[in-house]
Amino acid sequence: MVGGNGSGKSTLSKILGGSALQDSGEVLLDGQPYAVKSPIEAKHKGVIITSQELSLLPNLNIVENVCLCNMDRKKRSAFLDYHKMEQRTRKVLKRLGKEHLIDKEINMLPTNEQYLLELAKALVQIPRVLIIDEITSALYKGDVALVKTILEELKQKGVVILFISHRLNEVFDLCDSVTVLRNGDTVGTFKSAELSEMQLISYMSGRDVTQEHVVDRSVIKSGDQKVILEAKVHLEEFDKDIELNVVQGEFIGVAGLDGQGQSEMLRTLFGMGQPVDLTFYGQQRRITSPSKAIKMGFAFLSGNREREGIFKERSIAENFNAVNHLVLNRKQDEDVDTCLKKNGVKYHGTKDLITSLSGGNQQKVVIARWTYTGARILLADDPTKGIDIQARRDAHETFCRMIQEGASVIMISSDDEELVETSKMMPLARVIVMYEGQIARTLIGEDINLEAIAASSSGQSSSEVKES
Amino acid sequence: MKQRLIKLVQWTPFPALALLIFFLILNQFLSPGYLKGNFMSSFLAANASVIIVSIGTSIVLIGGGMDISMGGLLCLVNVVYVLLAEAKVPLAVCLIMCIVIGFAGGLLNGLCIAVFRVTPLLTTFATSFVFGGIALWLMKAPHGSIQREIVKWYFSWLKGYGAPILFIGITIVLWLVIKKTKMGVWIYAVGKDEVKAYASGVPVRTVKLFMYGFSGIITGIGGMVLTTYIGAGDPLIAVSYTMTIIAACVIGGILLTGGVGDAIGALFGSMFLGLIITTVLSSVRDSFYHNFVQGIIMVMGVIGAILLSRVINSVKYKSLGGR
Repeated sequence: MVGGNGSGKSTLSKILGGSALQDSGEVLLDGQPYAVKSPIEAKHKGVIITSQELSLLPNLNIVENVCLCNMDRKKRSAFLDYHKMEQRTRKVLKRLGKEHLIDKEINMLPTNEQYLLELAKALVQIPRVLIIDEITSALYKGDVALVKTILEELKQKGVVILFISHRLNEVFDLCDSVTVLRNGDTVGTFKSAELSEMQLISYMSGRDVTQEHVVDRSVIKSGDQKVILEAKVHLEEFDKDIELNVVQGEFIGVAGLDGQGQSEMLRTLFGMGQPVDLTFYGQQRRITSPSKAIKMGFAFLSGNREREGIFKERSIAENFNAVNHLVLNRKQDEDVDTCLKKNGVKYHGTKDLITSLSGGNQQKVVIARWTYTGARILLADDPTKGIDIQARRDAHETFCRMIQEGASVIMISSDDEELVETSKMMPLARVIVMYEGQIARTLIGEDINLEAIAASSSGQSSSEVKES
Repeated sequence: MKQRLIKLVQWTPFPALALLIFFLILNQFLSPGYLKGNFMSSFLAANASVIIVSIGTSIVLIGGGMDISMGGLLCLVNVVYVLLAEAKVPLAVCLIMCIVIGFAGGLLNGLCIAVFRVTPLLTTFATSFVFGGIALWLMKAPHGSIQREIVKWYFSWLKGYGAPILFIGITIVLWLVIKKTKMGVWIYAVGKDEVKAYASGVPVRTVKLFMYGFSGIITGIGGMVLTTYIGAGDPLIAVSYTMTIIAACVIGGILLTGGVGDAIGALFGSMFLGLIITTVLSSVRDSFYHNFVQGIIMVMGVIGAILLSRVINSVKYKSLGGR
């Protein structure tokens, strides 16, 4: 199932999973009416959902988390059969090739492993219908291949799988048929073999998107522009230093496998880690806190919207103005409506709670918040994680606009294709690939391609890559 | 051995335990030999009710709830017990009634919170007046007494150690049993994130009803112990206990945001608080300053516990190589 943000995919899957109630309509399972009022009832009927927001609880251990939905009891007693639960967990983790995770803590795990655990939690419930909501967007290629084999096995056993994803190549790769949703309506159901990617995108957006991004790239040589930022970032986790120079109007993509120090580098630059000394517009500065960084002209965009993006209990307007009002003490109001419209946010009123918006639209509000701070450097940590193609493109265009206005953007992405595509849009682009806390390779121009990024991500030296 | 030590240090109640031991040793220097006499037994006898109720309340807090009605409920249990004893009702019936009243009170809280979805703080604020009000209505002023045999037993069994330790022990065992069942895991799950727990098939409503009901039963036991200790009826006896109990839970490493901590922590927390109060009462002459000195020690204690747990956490994360 595919569709833009706010098209109703998550809502539909929540209704099937029992955590949202349907207003009208009818659902049939094996020809029988299927109407559930709670997740417990849905699970009873074999409909299991893995949620995009993850249902793992960091205060429980891995075994308790995986078995939470159906814990074992000892025979004729109320006590838990911990031994049996551990066996079941081990078995399912073995299937996922992650047996070593069993005595870890949830909060210590990188995102991709958390998503695999979420899948494990669904698998131990032995589903008849398995709903996978956006689980692969946080996974790496190796993980996705693994998930694919597991799903194939389930399919052989007759399990129905509803697979929701923004990554269209996965949809083509994994699914037999594709249902497209748009604004809460079904556009149609197609055989995936008879469908091209372009067709699918135009069904999703309702527009004719038969061509790629408009590329008006007047390539600039980096020598022509002045260096605005020179920094030496110390990564505590790896005990290594990274030297980084940023040129005005430059786009720097940061690639690499998860946990190679990308996030830590960006966070340190933004004052969230150890104090960092840097030269900004020719002046020596020391950044000790995010508020200092913001006042100097930095902006920070996180892909972890829930934790570092939105203020859940606050309105859209307050979320938009958060940095301008509270950190920069600018009292004059930007016109919220115009700014949000410009960023393509779909909403009813600016006084609504931010949580009334769909995930992609929430992220657009956060992007708009930072765009209007007048930042000179935007630090973006996987900013488009889990949002759909259209919203993604809108975000990229916003970055492009900032660069044209003279700002620079440093963007981490777990999706190599995104980096390649975005680099093509920008007048001046560079991709650095990180490995174990160091820059393994710097790519420019034609070298920015999937093969080169993939090769240097795994730590191969640059000479080998060139030969291949 | 080293593994065990690390586990002990990382146990959430550990800072409270360390604080308690530190304070016990400090007292030894301030008034040498105080542990030798019958101090410990009279200390336990006096504080058993608060310790017991703290353990019950901590379960509600772990489950992400809030309860400030224990004070009122304790008064009600006390009054009912004494009135029944005055009416020459057999002892066993009196004791059972204490637990029934506690359970009913807890269940009322649970119903309002889990079924009618009223905010826990508001619900228990209101019910504390309901319980306290009924207590005052039943007994206008302190009077009456309970069966003499049980009071005698409470103070003399095993040199006065037996009864308090028995009741505290029963409470702890109840908690440990729950922890080993589905309900135990569910309480932690609901406390951390109700929505995620619900999505994972946890019967959130049942869990909430259970934890308030259970905490009510424990409050019933606490009221029973309190009455046995004072031997008389007083409709206002426990009004001021509420905040002490909550504070004991917090010192014991239980977060008010839910999902973190262990009810054992409340045991250490409440013993620490009780010890402060006793020490201050005995060493500061001028009663005018009692609250002030108690407050200062409490603030220092809480800050100490937080600093200690922070050091433990940072060491833990470094050793695991995480961020």
